Amino acid sequence: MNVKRLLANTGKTMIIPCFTLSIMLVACFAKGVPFWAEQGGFRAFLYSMALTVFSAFALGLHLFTGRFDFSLGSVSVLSAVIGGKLAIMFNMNAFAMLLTCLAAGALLGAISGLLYLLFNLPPMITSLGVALSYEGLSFAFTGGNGVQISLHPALLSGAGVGQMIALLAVALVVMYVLLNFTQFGFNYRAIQFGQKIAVDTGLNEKSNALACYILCGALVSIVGFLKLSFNGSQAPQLSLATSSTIFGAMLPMFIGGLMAGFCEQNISMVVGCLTAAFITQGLSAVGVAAQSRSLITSFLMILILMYSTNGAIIRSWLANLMKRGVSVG
Amino acid sequence: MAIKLKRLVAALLMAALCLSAAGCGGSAAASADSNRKYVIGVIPFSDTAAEQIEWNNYLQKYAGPQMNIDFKFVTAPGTDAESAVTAVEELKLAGAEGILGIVDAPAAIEKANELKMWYVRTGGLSTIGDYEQVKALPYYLGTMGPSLDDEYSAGYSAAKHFISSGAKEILVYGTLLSLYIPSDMHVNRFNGFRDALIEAGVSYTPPESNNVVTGPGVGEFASGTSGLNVSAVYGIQGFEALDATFNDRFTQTVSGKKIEAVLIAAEGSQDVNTLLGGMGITGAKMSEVGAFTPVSKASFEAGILDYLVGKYPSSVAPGIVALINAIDGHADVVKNADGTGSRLAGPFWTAESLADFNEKIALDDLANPAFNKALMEQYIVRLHPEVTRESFAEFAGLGYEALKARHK
Amino acid sequence: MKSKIFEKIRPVLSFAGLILLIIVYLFAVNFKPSLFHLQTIIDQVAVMAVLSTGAVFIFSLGSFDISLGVSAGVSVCLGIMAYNAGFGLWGMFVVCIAIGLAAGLVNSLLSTVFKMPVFIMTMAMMTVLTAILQILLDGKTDLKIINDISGPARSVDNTWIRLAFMAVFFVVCIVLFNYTRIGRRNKILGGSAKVAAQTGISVAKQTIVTFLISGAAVGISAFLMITRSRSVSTTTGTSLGMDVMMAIVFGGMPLSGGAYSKISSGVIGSLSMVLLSQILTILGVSAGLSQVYKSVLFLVVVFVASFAYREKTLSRAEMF
Repeated sequence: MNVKRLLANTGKTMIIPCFTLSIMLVACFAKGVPFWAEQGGFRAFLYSMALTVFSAFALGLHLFTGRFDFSLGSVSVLSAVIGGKLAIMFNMNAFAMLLTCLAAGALLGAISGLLYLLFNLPPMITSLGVALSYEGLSFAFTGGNGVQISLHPALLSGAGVGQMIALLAVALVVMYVLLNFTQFGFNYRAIQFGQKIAVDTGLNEKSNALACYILCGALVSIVGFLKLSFNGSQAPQLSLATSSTIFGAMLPMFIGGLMAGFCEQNISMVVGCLTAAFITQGLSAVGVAAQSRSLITSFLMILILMYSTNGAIIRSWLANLMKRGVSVG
Repeated sequence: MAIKLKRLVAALLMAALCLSAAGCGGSAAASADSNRKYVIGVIPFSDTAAEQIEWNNYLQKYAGPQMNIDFKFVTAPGTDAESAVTAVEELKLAGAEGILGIVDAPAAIEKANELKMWYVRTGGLSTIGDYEQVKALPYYLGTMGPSLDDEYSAGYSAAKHFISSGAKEILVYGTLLSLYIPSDMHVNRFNGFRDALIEAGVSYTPPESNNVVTGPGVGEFASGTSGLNVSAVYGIQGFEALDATFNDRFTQTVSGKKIEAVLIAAEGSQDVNTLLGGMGITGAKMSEVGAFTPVSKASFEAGILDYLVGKYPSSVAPGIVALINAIDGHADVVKNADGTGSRLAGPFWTAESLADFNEKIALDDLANPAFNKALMEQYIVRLHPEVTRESFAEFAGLGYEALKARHK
Repeated sequence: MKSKIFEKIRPVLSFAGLILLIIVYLFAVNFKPSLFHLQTIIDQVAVMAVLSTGAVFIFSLGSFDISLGVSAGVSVCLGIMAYNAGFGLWGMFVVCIAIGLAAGLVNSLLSTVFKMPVFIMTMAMMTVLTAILQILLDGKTDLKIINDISGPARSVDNTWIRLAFMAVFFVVCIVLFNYTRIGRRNKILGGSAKVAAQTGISVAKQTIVTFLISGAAVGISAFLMITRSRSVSTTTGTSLGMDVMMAIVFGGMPLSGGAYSKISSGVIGSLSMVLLSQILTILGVSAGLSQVYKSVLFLVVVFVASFAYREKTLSRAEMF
């Protein structure tokens, strides 16, 4: 690998987050407010970012192979409910609870994936039914109470700064290795870029899809675990309220998409999440109301989507404009 | 396609004919015998709040079998008026003759009136504007539960509790009414906190707008002459869209402070404790204006909750008796003399310690609750024709001590 | 072969499902149905039926607009604002329709001019519209029609009016979908974009027309929502988008759109969902469990539909 190119790509990848951060810092400085609170502010920031990282990993895994999964949020809630309940029942520590959530998430993901394979229908449709079932089950299992771990200090440590950084690092490494150095990753890419050819050459698309579902289930179960650890409780949600988890991960994923040319997919995703978290944190710190913030970020999302589907046209249009500007000048 | 369409139209017509031909046989005439089975619909304010779950338990496990009532439940409609209207229609279809509503939804109350179903709003008194809109409807019985003065006193006494115990660093949490619960109930609780603090010498500047989303919405407390350091943050937890903003506001507000007491305008001491704990702040004592539930009991046991003003499982009982009387044809004892829906206050219970909590909740055991069958039957006009408007109001207003005396 | 046979019986299947639900419903009401039962069904089904009939046009192209419900929410809000500002009942109606059409137009332009993938784009639009609704409500939970008791807004709270709107819109859509070029072209486009291009169909024009029809549906259903509750809240319409998607599937719409698309699936599906919801309440099923039952039934319907949808590769859509 060419060191110069590596440096150039790293630079290009970091332009957007650094630019965003500087704007936000300047805005905070101008308003005389801190970017985040001295005590606990970084943790809250890291928490919001970690939620989007794990959601975006899962959403992206599906989306890049043409699937949309409404059930991701419900898997995260139900696995947190199962993990939390079992952790209390068996007096576990936070790490054991994490493993339980992961196992529950993987299992729920597997069920969801098996239904998809069984039906072979647009996953958007199948996952709608799965999401409603999981939401209903997390309600019915707990009589509507959900799960509370507030009074079990041993279980609350999962959302500490060190723990979250460790979780993020491990997840990034695992995703990087899985997608770049394993048979699963190879097949995944083959299917991503040429579904028909991949299948015609004898690649087992079904097992790859199932593996994706299991992986996604595990990823969003970490979202559930973090929410439970950070807030101390997880209430059941009905009527597809859980799907907001997915919508929150859209902007980071799109921003990540902008950098996909310069770095590996998973890294671009994390950088996208970091950028989105800077935007949210900065807007909130300077006192922009929640709904104005959501308007700004969703417009941004549309702009990015517009750019990513029309990038070439926009670039040539800009180039023309520049040329004309030069000649006029 | 044309054939398909014809078939569709024909079948639809047939279905319509079947439905209409059977005619108006739906409503059975009310009989006067004492074994009469009542069907009452319940519109909960939440599907998951501990308070609501305790009410549901009381209704399903005690009041239903004891009072010969079949309770029908719908999913909580939230703030969406159309869902509340749909809920009323579905309850009518389920055969409900009256509705125990724990939501303020004028459109739903009007629908109930149109469908000739009695409606009582319980669990607290309606926001005044909503009440004014529906009070003249013939089938609207009124609203019951802690009065707005009670709500104010609850906030006031909770703040007094901590001020007199010497807490210096106080956090007001869940204040000026959140976007999602814009009720007089919560506003009055906040006003109670505020006035007790002002009495102690704290100065308060109200916010430019009461809007928690477009502005800070809380106002500013300053120490003044009090020696107290008061901070305030909004937060009715569980609204994901606001999470990042909320977490930021919370940490910015609390950062660097050694919070000793937290005044919460609703349930949620465990959640606040977890949020504070995550920032390394431990040992804060809290008060809730909430309910006597297993969750609040656990909070007392854990030493988090120090003062609770709340409703209790059987506190919805006067609403049930009101509905029974109305269904029996005796709505007059519930409504005002001028025929409008009444506002009948029924006080909170207060617990100042775990022992106090345990003593009080013992009176509201599910096997023999505070409002038990014997007590309720005394106010059913069909069984006791001597019940008057005044005695019914007194029944609805029974406090802890009076209920305890009745149990002896 | 199997799927061809299935395609023949599919229209009967979703219809048979509806009949089955009607029978269960009759059981639930002890075979004593009344005019009130019929009236309630019409009242509750009207909004969803109109919206999902409009959505069938988009679905037949093989895509889905998930922002429809929230568009209706924004439309309701601005309609009420217009009414409260003194524009009267007709003013309110016109505003509702205009907002619906505008939302449809924006979506179709984003999809055609900017070539954005419909589903993802409408998902982004959904968050834009949700934020707009919250900003319009200015942080309040809800906004009600003023002079509610005596105002003309109450005069349209009437089952006949709802039935009339629903029937007229449905008939117009049947004609558009089955007897005009609009429907035929949609079916061809949904079946295969290549074939459509070769037959000279303008994808852009067709998409715009389609989104305008569904936009009109948004406007009408918004108006019908106002007639029922005379108020709007931050959550108005949020779950409607997904409900519509479920209704269309319940109604027997082929999940890939295309030639076998049926305009009746919106109405049949909406009716099925309303009946199901009523049955569960009548039987006294709790909130969580009733959602489980609904979703299991939905998955069963989807499973049955899957017999007609066998391909060598797994189902996916180009979304990104």
